[in-house]
Amino acid sequence: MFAAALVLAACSKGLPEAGPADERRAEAARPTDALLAQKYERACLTCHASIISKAPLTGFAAHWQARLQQGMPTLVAHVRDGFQGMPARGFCNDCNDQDFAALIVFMSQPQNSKE
Amino acid sequence: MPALSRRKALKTMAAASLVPTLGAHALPARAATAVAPTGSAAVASGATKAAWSNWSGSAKAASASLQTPADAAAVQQLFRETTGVVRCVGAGHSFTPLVPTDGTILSLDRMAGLIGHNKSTMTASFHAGTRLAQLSRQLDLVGMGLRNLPDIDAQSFAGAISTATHGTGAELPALHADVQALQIVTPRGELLECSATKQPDLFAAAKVSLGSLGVLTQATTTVLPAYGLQRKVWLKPVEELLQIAPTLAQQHRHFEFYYLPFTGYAAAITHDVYTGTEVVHPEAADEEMLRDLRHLRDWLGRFPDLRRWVAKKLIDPNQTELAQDRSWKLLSTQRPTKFNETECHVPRELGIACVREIIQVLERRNDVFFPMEFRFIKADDAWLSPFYQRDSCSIAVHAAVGEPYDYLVPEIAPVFRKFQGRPHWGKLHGHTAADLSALYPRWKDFLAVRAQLDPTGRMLNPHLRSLFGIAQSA
Ligand SMILES: Cc1cc2nc3c(=O)[nH]c(=O)nc-3n(C[C@H](O)[C@H](O)[C@H](O)COP(=O)(O)OP(=O)(O)OC[C@H]3O[C@@H](n4cnc5c(N)ncnc54)[C@H](O)[C@@H]3O)c2cc1C
Repeated sequence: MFAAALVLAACSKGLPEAGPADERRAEAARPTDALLAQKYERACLTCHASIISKAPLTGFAAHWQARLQQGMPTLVAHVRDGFQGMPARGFCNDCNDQDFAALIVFMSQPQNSKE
Repeated sequence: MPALSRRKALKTMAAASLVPTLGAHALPARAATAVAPTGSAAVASGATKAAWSNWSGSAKAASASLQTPADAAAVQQLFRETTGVVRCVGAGHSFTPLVPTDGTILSLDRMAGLIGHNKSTMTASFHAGTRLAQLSRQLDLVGMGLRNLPDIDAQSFAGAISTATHGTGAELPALHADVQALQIVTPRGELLECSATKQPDLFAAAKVSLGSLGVLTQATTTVLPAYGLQRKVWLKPVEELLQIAPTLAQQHRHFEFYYLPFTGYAAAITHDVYTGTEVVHPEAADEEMLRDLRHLRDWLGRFPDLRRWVAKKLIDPNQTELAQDRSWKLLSTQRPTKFNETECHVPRELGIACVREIIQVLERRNDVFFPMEFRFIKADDAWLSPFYQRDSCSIAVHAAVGEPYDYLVPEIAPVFRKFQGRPHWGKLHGHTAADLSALYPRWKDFLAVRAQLDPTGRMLNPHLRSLFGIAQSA
C-alpha cells in the first residue's frame, strides 16, 4: 500500500526522474566562458547539481522544457527577483541580467549523455 | 533531517496522507501570524533602493546600495570614501536581522575561492566570501576537507564563522574554532591580520563578531586530509534514545537526533570515519518525510493521542539506513522547504533535561510538526562563541515558512533561559544586552574592542545596537 502511494506520486508528475548519473553529469558540467564558469561554480552549482535541492538539474532537459516555454525574460526575472526556491539574484550579487540569461542557457542545454 | 525518516520510516507515514480527504480537517491554528515568504538572500537592486530579504523572509531591508567589491583594497576604499552604515551579507541564511540596514549592504561574492593550501601545516586559506559548498569542493580537489560542517553548505565562510555556525560531534567544535588567522578591513579602512600570536585579543574577538568589527576578507583554517564517512540512521522511542544519547555521542564522531513531534519517536544519526571506497548514497527523501508529518498533523492535529497512536502504528522501528561517501557530501544537504528557527546552546550536562522540557512545551501546540534537532558541540575560546569554555548541546526548533513562528521565542526561550542557554546568533532569539553580558564572561572585552575599531558605529544596525546595549542612532 505504501509503495503504491509512492509510485502514484511519482507518476502524477509525468516527468522523467533524474538519477545519479544525471547528477554526476550536472556536477561535472561547466560553461566554456571562464568568467561565467566562475560565477556558475560559486553561485549555481550547489543547487543545480543536486537532485535533493529540487532545483532544475543542469543539463537535464526534462527539468527545463516547461520553464523555457515561459520565455527568457520571465526566467531572468525569476532569478533576479527570486521565485519559489530560487533565491533573489541566485546567490550571485555581481551577476547582471545578461549573466543570468547566459547561465540559464548553459544549465538548460542537454549535456552529453555519455558517462 | 534524518535520512531514515526520509526513507522508510516516514515513507511509511505516507500512509497517513493516503486517507482520503483528511486534509480537509486541517488545523485552524495556522490562521495566526506569519511573515509572508519571499525570495531569499539578496536583492533586487534598483537605481535608488535595494530590496533585500534573508532566506526565510524573516528579515528584510531597503538599502541605499548593494556593493560587491573585488578585493580588500576596494573594501578599504569604500570605508574611506563613504560615510554611513555598512553591513556585510554572506548567503543571507541568518534568521535574525543581522544584515538589514538602510545604508550599504556589502557582499563578498566576488571575493571567493581557495587562495592556497599547505600540506605540512594542514591549513588552507580562503577568500572570506567563499560559500561552504565551493570551499568543500575546492578542498576535495587538493585532497583536504573541513573537520566538520553544518546541516547545509550554502553559507559563506565569513558569514558562517561570524555567528558561530556548527555541526554536531561531542569532540568537534564549531567552524570558527579551526580558524588560525583572519584578515579584516576595519571601519577606518585599515587592513589588519590577526591570529593566536598576532593581535590575539582582536583574533579572539573577531572569530565570532556578527560582522561588527570590520569586513573579514580572508581566513586560514585547519583542515584534515580528505576523508570518507559512514552514516547510520535509525528510529527509536524518544525516551529510550534520551537515555543513551550521551553514550552515543561519546562513541561516534558525530551523533545527533531529531525528535518527530507527536510520534513518540526520534531519529538517531551517527557518522564515523569510513576508509573504504564504496559509495552508498541512498536518495534522500526529507521533503517527503516533512510532507508526511505535515499531513499527519493536518489530519489528526486536533486529536494528539490519536495522532501519536497512528504514528506508532505507521512507524517501523526496525528500519535502518546506511550511507557512505565523502565527508562533505554526507554532512551537509539542501533544504528546499523553508522554515524559521530558534536554537540555543546549553551546558552539555543539562542538554537532556532541557530537551525533555522543550518537547513538552512544543507538544502543547497541536500545530507543531517540524522535527526538532539536538546536537553536540565542543567548547572553544572565541569571546562571543556560544560554546565559550563550555562543551554544549544545542537544541533547534523549527516552523515551516507560511506557518506561525511568532511563538518560537516567547514559548521556547524561557526553557532555554532556565538551562543557561546561549542563543545561536543567527537564529531567532529574544536575549537582550543584559542577558548576554551575564552569559558571556568576555562580553565587556568584546565591546571594548568593538568601540575601539568602530567608534562611530559604521557597522551597527538596529539589531546589533540593541544586542550590544548601544543607543539607537537618531
Ligand atoms: C537552512 C538553514 C540551515 C542552517 N543550518 C545550520 C547549522 O547546521 N548549524 C548552524 O550553526 N547554523 C545553521 N544555520 C544558520 C547559519 O549557518 C548562520 O546564520 C550563518 O551565519 C549564515 O551564513 P551566511 O553566509 O548566510 O551569513 P549571513 O546570514 O549573510 O550573515 C551572518 C553574519 O555574518 C556577517 N558577515 C557576513 N560576511 C561577512 C564578512 N565578510 N565580514 C564580516 N562579517 C560578515 C553578517 O554581517 C552577519 O552578521 C542554518 C541556516 C539555514 C537557513
